Amino acid sequence: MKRINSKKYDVIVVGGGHAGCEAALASARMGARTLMVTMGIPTIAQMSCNPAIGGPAKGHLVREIDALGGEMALAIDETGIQYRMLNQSKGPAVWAPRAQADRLEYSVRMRTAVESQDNLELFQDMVVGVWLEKDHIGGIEVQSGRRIACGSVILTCGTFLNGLIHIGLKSYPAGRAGEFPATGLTESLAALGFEYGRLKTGTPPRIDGRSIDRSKIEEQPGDPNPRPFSFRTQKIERDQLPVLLTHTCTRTHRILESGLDRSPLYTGKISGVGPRYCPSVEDKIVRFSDKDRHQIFLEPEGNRSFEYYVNGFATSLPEDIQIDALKTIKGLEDVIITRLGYAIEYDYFFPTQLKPSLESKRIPGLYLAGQINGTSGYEEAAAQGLVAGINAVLSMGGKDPFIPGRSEGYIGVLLDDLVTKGTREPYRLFTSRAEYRLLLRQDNADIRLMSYGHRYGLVSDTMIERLNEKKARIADTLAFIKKCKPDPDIINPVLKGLNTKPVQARQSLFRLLKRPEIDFTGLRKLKEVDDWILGLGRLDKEVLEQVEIEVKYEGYFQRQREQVQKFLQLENKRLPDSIDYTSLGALSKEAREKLSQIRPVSLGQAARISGVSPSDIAVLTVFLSKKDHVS
Amino acid sequence: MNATQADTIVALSTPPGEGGMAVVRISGPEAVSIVHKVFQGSKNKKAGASHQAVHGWIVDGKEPVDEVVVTVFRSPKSYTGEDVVEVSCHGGLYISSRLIDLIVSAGARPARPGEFTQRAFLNAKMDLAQAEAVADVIHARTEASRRVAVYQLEGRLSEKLNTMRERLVSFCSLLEIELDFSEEDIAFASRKDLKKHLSSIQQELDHLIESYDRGRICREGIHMVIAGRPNVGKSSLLNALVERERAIVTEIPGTTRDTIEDVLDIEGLLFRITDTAGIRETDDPLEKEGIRRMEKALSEAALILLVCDASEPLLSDDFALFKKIQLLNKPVVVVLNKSDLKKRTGCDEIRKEKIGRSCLHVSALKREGIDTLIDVLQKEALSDGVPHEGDVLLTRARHRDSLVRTILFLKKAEASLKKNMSQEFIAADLRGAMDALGEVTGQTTTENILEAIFSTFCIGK
Repeated sequence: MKRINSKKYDVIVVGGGHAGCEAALASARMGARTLMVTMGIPTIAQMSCNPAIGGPAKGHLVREIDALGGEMALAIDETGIQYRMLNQSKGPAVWAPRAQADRLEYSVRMRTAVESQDNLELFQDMVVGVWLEKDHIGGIEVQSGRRIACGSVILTCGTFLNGLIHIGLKSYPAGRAGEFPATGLTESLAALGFEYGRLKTGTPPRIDGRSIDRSKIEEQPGDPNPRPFSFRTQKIERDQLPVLLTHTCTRTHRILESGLDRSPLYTGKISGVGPRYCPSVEDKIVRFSDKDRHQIFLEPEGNRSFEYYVNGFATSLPEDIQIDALKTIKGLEDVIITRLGYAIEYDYFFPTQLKPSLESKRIPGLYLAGQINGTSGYEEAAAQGLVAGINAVLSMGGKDPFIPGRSEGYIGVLLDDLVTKGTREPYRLFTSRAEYRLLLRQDNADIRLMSYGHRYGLVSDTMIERLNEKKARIADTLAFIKKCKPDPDIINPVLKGLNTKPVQARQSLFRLLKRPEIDFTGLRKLKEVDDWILGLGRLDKEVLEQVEIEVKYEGYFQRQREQVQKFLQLENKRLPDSIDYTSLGALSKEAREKLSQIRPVSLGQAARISGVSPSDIAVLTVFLSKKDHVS
Repeated sequence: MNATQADTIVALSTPPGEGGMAVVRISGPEAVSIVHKVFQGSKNKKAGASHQAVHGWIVDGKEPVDEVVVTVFRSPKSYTGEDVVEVSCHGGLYISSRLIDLIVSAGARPARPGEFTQRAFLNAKMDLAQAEAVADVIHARTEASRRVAVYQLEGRLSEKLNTMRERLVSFCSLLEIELDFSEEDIAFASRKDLKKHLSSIQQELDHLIESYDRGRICREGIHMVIAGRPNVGKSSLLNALVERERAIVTEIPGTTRDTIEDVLDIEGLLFRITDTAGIRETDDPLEKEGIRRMEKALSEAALILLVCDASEPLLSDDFALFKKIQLLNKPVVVVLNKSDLKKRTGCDEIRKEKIGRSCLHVSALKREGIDTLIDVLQKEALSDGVPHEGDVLLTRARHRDSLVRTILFLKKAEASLKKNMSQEFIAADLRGAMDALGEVTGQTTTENILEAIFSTFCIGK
């Protein structure tokens, strides 16, 4: 990498959470001298909320992070205590891996990765501000007043910025329960002109697992043969623990209601906006008062802890209410609470102030990633950290940023949503946010993204060679099944065995595979198919899976691919950074304002800004074509 | 004092179709900015300074719609006392209604009858007596309010389409919830329920699409041809109709000069009338050309008003014409004119010839039976009945096209449902449907769908 500065560090990452870890690791692995400054080395990669990774869209993200050479998937493959593939009754696009993590082990595993990474140093302190050198970022300032210079700064401060914890009507400053908040940084950025807001999130109580009456509670086991998150993990061989399932009842609801007059949410003490998809239990009983019970998952915290996490019971009600209400839940009659639930308010910076590369528009060299951008979730944070880490290094080398598009991955959807639309509540990814969902599957994240990871030096040559071999085998196999048209006399007995209609004339395996009853396992009774599969060697499962999916849903995929082509036409029309939108009188006033503020990189992004109408896009198209004409 | 009105209104301020120029007037706080959205000044000149006329084009996106002169009257020195913009455009119903459409889609609201005057009065630009005088004029010119009625009709349409959109969004949320929130404790919609939802949405869209023909008639008018042998009184009948309605209008641009077309506004329903010359069966080349033209007019007509003379027996020229018309298989109204004279032909004779669904006696000269004729014409024009309060009609080809595509996607969704495909595939079809509908109602975003989920279902572990 070209060194453009004589400073000790190229990149400083502020924060050691899920965003910070991926950012620091990516930066160091790309060869940049990297420093991670965290308020607590012992709490690196701490899971502040539920001890789980993955789920719809989130599991997709983890697979994409892995394809790009990130760490999260490997870490959860090595430290999970339960693995499930969700949505298996649905189509492949919404299959989603999810795992319960051993909270402590996960953190230690990630810390080891960070500590053992070449080019990466760790320092424990609180960052109170950033400073500029001319118009570019100069470095950071820590609590002692010491200034550390660097080429780029990546801020991944999570919920720590002016964090304020609420339990009942009591509140105290904290970044997480029992940890100091980060003060000074918000004000430092605000002084530089950054706009910020306040969000809220909540977490449920934790309990002593030994006080649960397990005889009354349903168990939810993991999958017998768990599928790894990482393309680099061969097989997961870990003992799994069940998650326990119980419900609140009307008695629980009455008790919770009796505490509403001391709820920081309902008395107006909390001003921050909370997530609609993850309401507190008091919110649920108020908004959905007709429901007489709500689902509660008791999630084990790990192999070396007795604690359980009471998922579904996030609350900021006073202590006495929390305890009394919990005891009305089946199986928790004699529960012992180890930690109280709480709500936390924190500062976030409007992500529309960022470029899609996550670099701030205002200050070159300053990147923001994770919850500081208004997102929620470890996976969303990690994905942003990875992108910011890659781009901080690319920009120092004078290279174009890495900006995956909405048609390439959930990471692209996440980045584009954040910088184009912004968010006023903690932003979470859903599969429904992806227009091209059918193509953005967890099973093909490697095919979609791994070559980028390799280009940036984050994915090994071995992995990319393997991927290329896989792609070639997929193509060969597709050609084979189109060409192979077995004699009806040979295929019909096989079809009979699979309970599907016989054929009258020769039909290609490709056509036969479209039938829901037929898969490669069934067709293997044909010698030529069996021979072909044996010839695939170690890649057989992955290749056959891709081919089957491709054949069975061909029509739908074809339609989405056409949509993507259309989408890319606008997406590939770049809008130069130099456009002065205020001078384009033909644009609507709102469009001029919004375009000046967001400064979209492409016509496609411009079209997604609320308030920019199709006629504004027409005006921009005319402007661009005139400009091309002149130049 | 300026009694500020929150919204900006627009209307045609000259009588529809009269003269070569028309003036569309916009009044309200956004008048200037709204016009900017649809106005492209020549040499990029902008309309802004008060009492200055700027030449340019009204544009729909990039496409120029009409060459116009725009004059801004800044508050308070204007007719209403608010910011007013007057757009002088070419006369003719088509141009001015298209202009108003554009201005409405840029953010203005169609004015109610008399609303400009009302605003002028509220802003102390005229006293009550003046205002009442203007109101009388407006009352007299019923056609102005009738045109507004067409817009109101369309207002109801957009309400209806928005309801359709909401139904699609809510349907989509039923699919999405099972994908993104499969772990939640929610009773998911059954396949049977999904099918029911889908077919009821389809049915409603089908109804709307079916209403297009009636809607188009309301908007563009119905093409009516007056036919009859010479001397049966076609012209005096037309005059009687025109006089009754005080609304003889104009020559529609683009029609050939020798087929005069009048536009008649009957109770808010436009009739574009082609009056054919009375033709005799003859070998005269000139008359032959006349016959050719008449036949062409008849073949293009949506409604034929066949005039016969009640004071004479039916002649061979009548029968020849009947034959021609019968071949066309179009709605025909037969009028037996000259009912004031001694009757020699009655409706029985006409019925025997099996021509026309209705037959009636009028006297164009004495102005008798004209009201009945108007009723009959209206009913024939809207053969499914006159649209009444609450009826929603589809009036534009563009809307119809969108809805047809919406239905195509819904059919795909139905097929996916039948094939027992998983929700994400049905959702992909649904997105196609919502995008097609979105071309009329505005785009549906994921946010809308998530909003529907969060407001209906208790989500969140």
